[in-house]
Amino acid sequence: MSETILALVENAKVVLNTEKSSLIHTYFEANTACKGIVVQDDTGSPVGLVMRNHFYQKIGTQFGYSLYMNRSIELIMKTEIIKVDVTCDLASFGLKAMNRHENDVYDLVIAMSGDAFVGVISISNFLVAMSEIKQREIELLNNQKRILKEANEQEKQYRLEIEQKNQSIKNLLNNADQGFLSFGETLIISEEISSVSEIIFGRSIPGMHFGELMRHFLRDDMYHLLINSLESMFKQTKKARAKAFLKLLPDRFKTDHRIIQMDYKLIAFNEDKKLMVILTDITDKVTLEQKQQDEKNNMKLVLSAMNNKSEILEAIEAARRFFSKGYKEILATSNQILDCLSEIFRMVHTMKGDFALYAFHNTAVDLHVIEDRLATFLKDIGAVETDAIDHYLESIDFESMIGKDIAIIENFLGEGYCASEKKIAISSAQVELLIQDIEAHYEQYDRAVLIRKIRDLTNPTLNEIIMSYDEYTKILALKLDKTISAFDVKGDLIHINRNDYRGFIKSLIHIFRNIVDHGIELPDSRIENGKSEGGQITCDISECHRAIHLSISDDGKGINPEQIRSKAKEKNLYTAEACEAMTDQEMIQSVFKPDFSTQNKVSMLSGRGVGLYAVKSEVEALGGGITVDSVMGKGTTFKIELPLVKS
Amino acid sequence: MARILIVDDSAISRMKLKDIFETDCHEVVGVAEDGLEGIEQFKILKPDLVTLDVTMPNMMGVECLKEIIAIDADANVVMISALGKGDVILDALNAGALNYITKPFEEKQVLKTIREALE
Repeated sequence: MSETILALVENAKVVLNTEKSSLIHTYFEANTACKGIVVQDDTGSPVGLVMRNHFYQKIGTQFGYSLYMNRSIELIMKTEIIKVDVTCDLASFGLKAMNRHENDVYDLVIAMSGDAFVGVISISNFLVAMSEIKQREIELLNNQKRILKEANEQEKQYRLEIEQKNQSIKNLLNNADQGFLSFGETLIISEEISSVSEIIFGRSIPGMHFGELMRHFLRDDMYHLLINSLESMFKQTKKARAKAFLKLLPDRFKTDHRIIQMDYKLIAFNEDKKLMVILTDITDKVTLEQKQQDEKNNMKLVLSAMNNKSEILEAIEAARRFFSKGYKEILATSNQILDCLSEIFRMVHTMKGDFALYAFHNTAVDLHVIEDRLATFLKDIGAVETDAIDHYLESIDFESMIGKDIAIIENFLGEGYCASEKKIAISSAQVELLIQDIEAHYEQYDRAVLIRKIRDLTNPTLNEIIMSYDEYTKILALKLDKTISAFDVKGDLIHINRNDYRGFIKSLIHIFRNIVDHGIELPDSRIENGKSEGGQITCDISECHRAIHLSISDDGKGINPEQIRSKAKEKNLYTAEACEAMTDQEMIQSVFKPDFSTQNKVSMLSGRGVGLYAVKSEVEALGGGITVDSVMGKGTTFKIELPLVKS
Repeated sequence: MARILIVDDSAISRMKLKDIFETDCHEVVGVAEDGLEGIEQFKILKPDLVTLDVTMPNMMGVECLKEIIAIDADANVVMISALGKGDVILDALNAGALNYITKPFEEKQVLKTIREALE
């Protein structure tokens, strides 16, 4: 309380000590509100005080009036006056006022400023003022108390809410199927993790280095990419850029028995960057998807196994021969190692195509791996020893490779799928015996008709054979996001002996692969070019002068002669002069050259520069010929002429 | 709407990207078939954004990116890459590429990446 008493000072009536009491009386009568009058000496210093109550008490006694009224004020005035300086604070003033002698409890206190009289202060006014101040202070205090109380309650409420939230988040985290963990720039995993995270990793992980934790589950290159990406990510100042690095982090990993998907979320980016990792066990989902895919593949395999049994058994036998001694024979020739390896590579490539055609999915995948390995040998041919190739191929266990697909077939069709092949071989021999019998016992005309009929029973038409590529071609297209809307085979029905054309029939796969891979455009660009969404493939067969004419056309984008020309130059297929001199039509025939491919990428389908050369070789081996016509934007036609072999 | 330069050696990729950008009202101001051409075009066209294939003849994407960043440190470059090239992409991001897109493209993913890069 540092307020002074200045505000309480009032003016007061002042009289000289030489005046008479009658003057006081006159003044009191005229000013009824006046409670007291200050008496001064001739120096102006206050020497006494006449209070109204006290004055009339004295005057009102029996002799009061005559004793005091017309005599000096000094006789009736109180001389025990209290003087205070106006600089006095309220508390000290209060003390002084309260310490008055109990006989002198008059109301007024004289206020001085230094030696000068300035007025009076009423103690009762002082008390009123004091209680008002007190009241204000109490109100202020109460107010503060209320605010404090409210703030306390608010805080309590907040704390409760946060606790509840934390608890419910923790419950949520612990009860969700997902695991959560987070870490900052140090990659040290924070304390707040969900219990599922620990179940996934099978250990306590807070305090662990995230990189070290993941190291067990990632390939070395992925581990390094993880660490380096995280390091760069935490340095970013812009969230969008940081997110770009997040995309490089591994999106799944495998524990002993489970497959875990990882999603990343940046939290608290501004101050203290933190990354949250969300772990989801997707084992069941992946297993189910894989199972469905396997089942589809299996059904295709079984259907194919029923429809193409003899071809399949022959393909298996050929592959078995190749892996047991065929490749050794090739390596043992005096040819250069490059030629040997190219030949082996071509054979494996064709084998892969055959098994893929027959829906031997597992075998085709394994052969793709072998092909990849051979491709790396080819790339590095200067440094490759024959022994290394021999050693590699020797390490391949063909029986277990083919065994996976055979097991699937036998699971559906019963054991002995491979073993029963001999029966078919016998029955075709029986056909031959039958024909020999007919030849021996029937007249010429009947003989020709009968033999033809028997042959037609065992010999399919070329139409049927080509039609067997229908499904394969369409599936191939789907893998490349393309569509084949029509696969038509029309023309003469020509029965042929499969054995006579076996190599050629197999090689046709390269034509259909080329059509799908290089010819047919993606649906969008087809529509843009005014074509139907799906590609059309048309095969036309005719017989003329003991020759088979087969044309296979597509309505794709055609072959770009300039692209072929630049590729031919790049691969040094011709001399520069010859290259310039060739017409477009001549130039596009280069697609049949060995090692020619316009596709840079190697896919499971084509693009290894083996394909069309294989067709040409087979056609020429039969004494036939193949050409290609193409109109840019309109399509491509392969024209094949083969001699009609009559056994 | 942004002015975009496409640098890609695959004609199909160039066409696809151009289509996607144009349906989203961006302007493809130039296409280049390799890195060297890309840099020349960049100098002349000063595009708002460059999409840059990682694997190209003459000059690989990351080299091309470094040249572009040397010309204009604030250049907005988004890399285009086949799957499984994490190391190269990390180099590119550290060298100043804003983001990347993996082939085969998905329209939504491409547009989302471009929009974020331009923000």
